Amino acid sequence: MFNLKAKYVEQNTLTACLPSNFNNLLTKYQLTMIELLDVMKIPKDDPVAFTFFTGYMAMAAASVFFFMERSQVDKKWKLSLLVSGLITAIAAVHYYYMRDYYGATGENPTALRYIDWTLTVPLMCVEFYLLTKLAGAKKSLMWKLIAASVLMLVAGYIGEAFNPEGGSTSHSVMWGVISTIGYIYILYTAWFGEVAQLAEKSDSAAVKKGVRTLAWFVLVGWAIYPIGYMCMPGGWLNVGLGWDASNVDLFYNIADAINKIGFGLVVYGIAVSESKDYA
Amino acid sequence: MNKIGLLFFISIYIVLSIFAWVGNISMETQIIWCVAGIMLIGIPHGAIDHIIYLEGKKEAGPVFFYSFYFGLMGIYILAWIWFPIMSFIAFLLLSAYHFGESQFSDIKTIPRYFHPLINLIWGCSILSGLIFYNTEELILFSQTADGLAIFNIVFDTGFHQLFLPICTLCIIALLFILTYYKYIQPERLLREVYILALIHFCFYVLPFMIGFTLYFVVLHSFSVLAEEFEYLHSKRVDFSLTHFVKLLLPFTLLSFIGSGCILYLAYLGYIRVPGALLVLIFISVLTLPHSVVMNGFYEKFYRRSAP
Repeated sequence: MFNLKAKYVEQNTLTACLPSNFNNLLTKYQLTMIELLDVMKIPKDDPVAFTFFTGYMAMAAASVFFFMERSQVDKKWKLSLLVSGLITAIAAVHYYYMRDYYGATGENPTALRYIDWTLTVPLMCVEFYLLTKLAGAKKSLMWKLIAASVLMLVAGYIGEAFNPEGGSTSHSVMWGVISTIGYIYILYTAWFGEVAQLAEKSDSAAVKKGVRTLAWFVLVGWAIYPIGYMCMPGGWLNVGLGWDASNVDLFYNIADAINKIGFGLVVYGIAVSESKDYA
Repeated sequence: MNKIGLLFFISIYIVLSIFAWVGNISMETQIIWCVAGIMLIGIPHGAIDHIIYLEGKKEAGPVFFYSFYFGLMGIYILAWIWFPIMSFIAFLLLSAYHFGESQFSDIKTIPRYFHPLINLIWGCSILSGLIFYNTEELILFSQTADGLAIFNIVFDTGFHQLFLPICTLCIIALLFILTYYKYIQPERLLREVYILALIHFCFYVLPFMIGFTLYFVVLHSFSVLAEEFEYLHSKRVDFSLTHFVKLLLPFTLLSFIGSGCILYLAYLGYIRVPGALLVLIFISVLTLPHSVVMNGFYEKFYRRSAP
């Protein structure tokens, strides 16, 4: 654990020889610093706190990257990169607050996490629409995917946040199954449904490959979230195998970083290869 | 991932949900559901072996086929009588090869000598996982079911503790090598690693009987049925799903009647073999000729253009 707070208190002895108003000013400054340092401390043996911090920084850096690179690609891909940047920017803001919440309480920031997902996952679905738009995707596809993602997240939130004390299996399973219906719909659409068919119809090899890669993200990357959900008290894996939720935040943080930044990088890759003037 | 892979994923999820909701499911209930699944989907996948074998073959007639098919069954029954443990091990190895063969059947680009290796190691990885994750349950079952206790030697944890990671690492390494030398696409590598992980997850989290049935019915039997349909569809004019079901029916029903008769004879005391062992022998005896037929089927259907 960082011991900077103690160092600041030690240095306080120096202030005795300074004017009294300066002393007051410095005390205020010191308090602010101490509060800030208190928030920022990352225990060495706490990988969850570490991943909250790195997740926040990675999301912020990815946002800057996507926004800056937006000017380098063809006009038709600018919106896709804007959405990629928005996904990571929204996540970065939420990670900033989640990091604080976790640092202060040591608990899962469930509500903040679901607010983040409720905003970013539908945006990922918008990416599918934007990528296949040139191959003839209709807006109805976008709305269907958004509706499925909202169903998945709202049901997941109810299942996780309103789980009775100690965990209720019937509650967890019921909302988990409802949530999974939304997930399976997106999965099917990305692999075999409208998105896959439109990508196949597309003239661009980069779009075909990119949509398939995004479908892999949905299959493997997104599957980490239901596994985390099943480890909550009363969940499938918690009841059946005794897996607990202590490391859920760690998995969520790693999965978030891979899924959101990775998702954006795939879109960026398509945009770059499809932009004639990219240098 | 193909549609059958997605179906397998959803099936695991549904079964996990049922387990979480209902709680513990008795062994009797598990057996009923598993037998129903195997009878309805598993048995039909081997019910048109004669058609698959004879399709387009002028040199071999039905007499040759049935002599060969039932001859192999007879030899295996004798092997079970004289060398039961060896026969059981042979059954496991044969099943491992057969499962691997159906998993990689569509890869046309792999060199011929790679196929047996990759099939066997893949199958050994999943079967060893199935045994290792469920050793306690298997030993308990074999002790309570008459005639199965002698096979406990195969369930040795120490052996599978070593065999399972070796097989799994070997198959992943082989797939990486094939990808490196461009025999398979990187996406195929990803798909195979994903499916392998999903099968191991299924065997790990679910009871032995349920986990195996899910794999056998959804991933193996459905895949084979789909390939058989595709093959006959390519060979025959106006071949529909109804035609396919009609082809499957006679030998499926014959298998039901045959297995019923054998169990009834055992019940009456005419066959002096314990019920569980009899089921095991029955399945293995069906597996041997089926595997041989499927081996030939994959040779002519998929690998004609293999280097």
